[in-house]
Amino acid sequence: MWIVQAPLLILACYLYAKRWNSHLSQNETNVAIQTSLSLDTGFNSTGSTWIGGSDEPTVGYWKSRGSSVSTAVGLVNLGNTCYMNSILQCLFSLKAYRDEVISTPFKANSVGEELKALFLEMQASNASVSCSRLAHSLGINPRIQEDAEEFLLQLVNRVDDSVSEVGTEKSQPNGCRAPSHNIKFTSHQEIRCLYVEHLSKKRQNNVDLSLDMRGCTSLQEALMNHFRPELLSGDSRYRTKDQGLQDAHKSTSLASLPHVLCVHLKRFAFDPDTFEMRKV
Amino acid sequence: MLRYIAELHCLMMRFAPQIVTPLEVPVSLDLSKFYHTGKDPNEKEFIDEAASIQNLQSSEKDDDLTYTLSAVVVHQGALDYGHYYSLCRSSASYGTGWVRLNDHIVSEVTESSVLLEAKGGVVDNTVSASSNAYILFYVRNAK
Repeated sequence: MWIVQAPLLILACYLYAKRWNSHLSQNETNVAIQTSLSLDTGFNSTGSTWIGGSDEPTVGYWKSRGSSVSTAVGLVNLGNTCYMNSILQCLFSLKAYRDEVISTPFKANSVGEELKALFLEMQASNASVSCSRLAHSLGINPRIQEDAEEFLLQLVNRVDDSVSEVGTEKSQPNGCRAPSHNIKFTSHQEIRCLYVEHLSKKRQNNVDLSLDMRGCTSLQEALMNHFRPELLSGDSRYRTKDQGLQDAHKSTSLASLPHVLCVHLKRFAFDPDTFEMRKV
Repeated sequence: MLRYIAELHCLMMRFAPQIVTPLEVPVSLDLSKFYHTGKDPNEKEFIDEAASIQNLQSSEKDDDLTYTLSAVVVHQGALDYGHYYSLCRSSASYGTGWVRLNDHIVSEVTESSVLLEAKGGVVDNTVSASSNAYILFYVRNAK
């Protein structure tokens, strides 16, 4: 048996090694190009100030001309917190959300209060900032990498929860709105049975729009797929209250549009080749 | 024997670099096709949190339904290991208008580079094969 197995094993190893090598050499050239790019952009282009090391930018922030407010600030990696840093930097760059967080009153020692403190520190900073206090208040272990989208949802919801006196929106017309009001949107789902009189409507509040990417080559295509009416038949028939399983049409649409739309591209899908989740 | 090869295949695939399928990310996005105000008489049944959000945005019918790409979170690598960094539109109107924020490293990037990094996959050898956009932030255009 081994006489048959051994050459096959060697062949398999060779093929994989070849595959690996081609990738590695390609990655090396990528790295080379990337570094040369970042060196080229050692900029002081049109009056904007770039402050950081000249050859190897290790500390940096970005200020607009004639302004003392930083619009893009580096965040220190606390171990494995790049998922956190990237989301925080994006939210900070979105003026609509940043201004909302800074102007909202939060409960003392809450997640919202920490985010506000961090944003204020980032605005005033001339160097990289650490988000360790926010991580601590969220109960995050900085050594463990997590999913950026889950962090985004968690952060936005926890910040909303820490607004002082939530639910008094009507009595206080000017204040205490949840900071996410210009991120959250409402989606509307409608299920209409084909053969019996039945219509089910559902409204849902979302922080982000999660799109399935499989088989799509553009964002528009993924959006079209997401909002395309779906026929529920066969195994996926819709269970009605009175008339049992029924064929139905399911359609989704946006019932309100946010000022800032977060689109989550579902990159991780089950791969039947390896029986594992993988990136698409 | 087949099982043996299959196990080996699984093991190697787990550690092999993965190529992702490129996805075109537009700078400008029109959502008017997917937006329905849904104002029919039965609508009053659904007075809940959703309605209060809609009230806050009640003036939106007069607004523009188009959006502009404003920030991107890029993921490099595979499922259980990898790195995130962000590309943000800087609120200033000079330079290229975009910055790349990779933890503490801040650098200026061009919009074409942003779109290339967001698209991902094997593109021109400048973008790593397993890196692409994971979360996109679109800001609505003012009327």
